[in-house]
Amino acid sequence: MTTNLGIQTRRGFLGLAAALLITNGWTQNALADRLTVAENHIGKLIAELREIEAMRGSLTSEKYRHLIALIMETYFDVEGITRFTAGRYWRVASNEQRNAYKEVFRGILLSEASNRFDQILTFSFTPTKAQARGDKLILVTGIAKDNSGQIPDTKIVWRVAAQAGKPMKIIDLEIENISMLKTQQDENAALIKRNGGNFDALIQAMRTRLDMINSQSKN
Amino acid sequence: MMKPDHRIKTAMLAGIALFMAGCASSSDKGDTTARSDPYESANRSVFAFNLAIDDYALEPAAKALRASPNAVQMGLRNHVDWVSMPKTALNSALQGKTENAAIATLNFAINSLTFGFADLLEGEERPEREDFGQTLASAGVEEGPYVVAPLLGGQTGRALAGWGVDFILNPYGQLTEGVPAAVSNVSIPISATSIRATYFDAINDVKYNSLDPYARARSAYYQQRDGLLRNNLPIDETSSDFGSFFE
Repeated sequence: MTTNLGIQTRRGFLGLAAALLITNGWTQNALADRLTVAENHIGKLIAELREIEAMRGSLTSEKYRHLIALIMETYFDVEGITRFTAGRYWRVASNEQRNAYKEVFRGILLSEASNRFDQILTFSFTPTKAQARGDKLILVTGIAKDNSGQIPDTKIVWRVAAQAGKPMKIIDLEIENISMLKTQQDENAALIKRNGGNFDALIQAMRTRLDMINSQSKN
Repeated sequence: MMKPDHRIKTAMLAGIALFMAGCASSSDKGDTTARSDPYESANRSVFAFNLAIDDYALEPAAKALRASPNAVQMGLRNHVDWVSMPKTALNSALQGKTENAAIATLNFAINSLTFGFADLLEGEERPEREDFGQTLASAGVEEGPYVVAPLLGGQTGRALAGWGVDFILNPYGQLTEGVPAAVSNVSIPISATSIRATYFDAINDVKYNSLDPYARARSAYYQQRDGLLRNNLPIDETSSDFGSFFE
């Protein structure tokens, strides 16, 4: 009796261990798959940008901006980035302020992206590792090499939102420990704070900036 | 490199000690906009002064340097890196990072053959940058307020005090004892120009494309400094502002 119970208990443990190993193996495989998808997301973005930049000479500026806008929407979480950069002021902003901020922020994001993505041609990016941070975020780390030799090799971290049931989207680019997202949020918060907590002051300053960028690109 | 005499060094150390006493009460953590910047108004004035110096001296010099052959730029960059090795070795040793100290010492010794202009250890492991501000942080000294110093730029009180100690104790100063002051003194503006040239676009981006260049520079400084203090390990998103992204 005791022996039978012992055998049953042992079998029970062995079964549990096997189930745990299988589950663990499955979890590990699922994680590895997610990391690969995140790495490929960055790889595809860079490849598409290179393609667009390679044919830039034959594109009208409207067509080029349209393609960059598509890239932004496909690969980046523009909505999340917009909200995050407004910081804690987002929560207290009215719907009207939120919509105005969304519009002007997207305009600046697109203009800045259009002006800077050509730099992708002078850099090569080699991913070195991908790590999950919790169940919603993946960091893809790598080294950017300046092909012109003017800038030393630079450590880059892409933050990729990887939420269950949603397509992966980039939310941030960190260069040598400096996050673009955090820097923008801090700058916006400082500007609002200097204007006595007035969110409209930020929207107005961004509109002025956008007008300036647009007039520069026309000249 | 300047070689202050003993009395100047003592006075500077006393000044640093006083400054450190002023740092002791300030907070260390939290988001960069909420971090200690009690002298913001004065800091902004010094920041504007530094930008003017950049307009008239550093940016044009850096632009000229960028027009020179890549070999010249790389040589200067290597030299600037090499000059910082004794400081890194000393501070690594003080923090108990013996391996980093050994790598920095080896790097300095071998590249001394070319005065650091050529990197004879290219492709080998690089030491993590360490300074006395990081040594103070590892000893538990609080970071103090954000201070923008003329020509030196913005940094925490702790980092600024650390810079002073590094400047005085840097063994490089002793090693160049026989070098005429006129020669060793030009290394400071040359280093500044080389650094400005290396990060030309990034600095111009802050200067010309920001809504608030001061706030942007302060944020970038804090993030970069925090990264060094974490030994360049990734930030913990769950305990930082990033945690709120998915709320």
